[in-house]
Amino acid sequence: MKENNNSKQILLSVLGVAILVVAVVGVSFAAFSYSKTGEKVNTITTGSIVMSYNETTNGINLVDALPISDAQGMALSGNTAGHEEYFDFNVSATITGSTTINYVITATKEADSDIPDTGVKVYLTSMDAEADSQILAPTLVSDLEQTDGTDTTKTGAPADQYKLYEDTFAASNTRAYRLRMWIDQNYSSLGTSGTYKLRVNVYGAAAA
Amino acid sequence: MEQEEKKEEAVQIKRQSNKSFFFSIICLLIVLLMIVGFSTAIYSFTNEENNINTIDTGNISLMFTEDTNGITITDAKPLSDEMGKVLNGSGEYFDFTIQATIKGKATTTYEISAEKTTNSTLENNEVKLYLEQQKNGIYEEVMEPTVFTPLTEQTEIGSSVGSMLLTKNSVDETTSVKYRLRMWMADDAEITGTSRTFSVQVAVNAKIDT
Repeated sequence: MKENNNSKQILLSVLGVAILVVAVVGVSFAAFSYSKTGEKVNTITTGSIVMSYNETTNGINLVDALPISDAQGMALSGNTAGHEEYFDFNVSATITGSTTINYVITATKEADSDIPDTGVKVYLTSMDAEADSQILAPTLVSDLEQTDGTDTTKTGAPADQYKLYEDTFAASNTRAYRLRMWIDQNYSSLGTSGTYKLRVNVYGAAAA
Repeated sequence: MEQEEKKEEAVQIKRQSNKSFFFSIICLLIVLLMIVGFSTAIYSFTNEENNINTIDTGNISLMFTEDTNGITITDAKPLSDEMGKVLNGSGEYFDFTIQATIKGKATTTYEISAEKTTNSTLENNEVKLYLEQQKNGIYEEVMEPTVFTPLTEQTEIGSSVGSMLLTKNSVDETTSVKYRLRMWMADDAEITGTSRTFSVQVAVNAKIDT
């Protein structure tokens, strides 16, 4: 009986010391560290941009085309199946926020074109409100300015494309354009038939 | 016979009591040694000229306060580092202070990290953070413009996995350090057809150097 009591005393002593050790260790470690996450949330939010390019008519298709004057070329208005004298397209931007978009309308000659750039003229008008107002005067393709690295930075357009027109969107908008193309009246190499094909592209990028 | 048995029983009881007493003394000595061992970081030992040995307790506290509202930039656009580093408009930077109060001989190391919130939709490499520290009234760079770079494991000081370590510093005396955080869209990031966000909260972790 007395031996049992002694064993209990020893056990209690050991337990008491163990609890004390744990308390000392616990308090000691708590004093050694600090951690706090702030309450303020730091946030940046972007605007959004959606650009689209929509071709509203078939491409220009002039068969048996002959050289014509600028006045005749600017007046081309026929658009029947198989004889499309102009090409209409829209450029749209949907912008949230105050972002400005720089965009450029370019043209690239297709590889199977055999009429030189010096023999073809292009003419671009704005069709907003059906105005058909000139924004690029009749110009030989060979005389068009070409895109370079600066354009790549500004609009994302690759280099070496013919620039037809460039502009900006400061807000959501849709702009309509009409392209006309004809054989320049001074082109004389008509001994054999030829073909000239032009592809229209639009590139845009957010302004810095 | 009965008396002898009683005498023997008394002797045994005394022996058991001695054992208990001896065992308790041993345990107390062990505890005392452990207290001295764990407490060396917050206690300093001073040896006076007149050979008086003194133990002084130290006192350390750290406080992290947010001095301004958080950064709130809507309609964020890609910015060069040169432009981002000088953002000074309202809501374009975040000021906070780390104050350490140290009495006694102790060195505290703290880390400042940025914890990205779960609703962030910009990619880590599309956002740059920049940290300055105020010295003699002027803010100087302590972390150059850096894309958000998450830690792959928790640091010894306690900065968590996934957070970005902005800076680490040690102080051994009472001091107050002011910091300024800026954050912007990296110049090679793009604005897409969807509005996107990136949010961080500043966290501070510290430990006593042992």
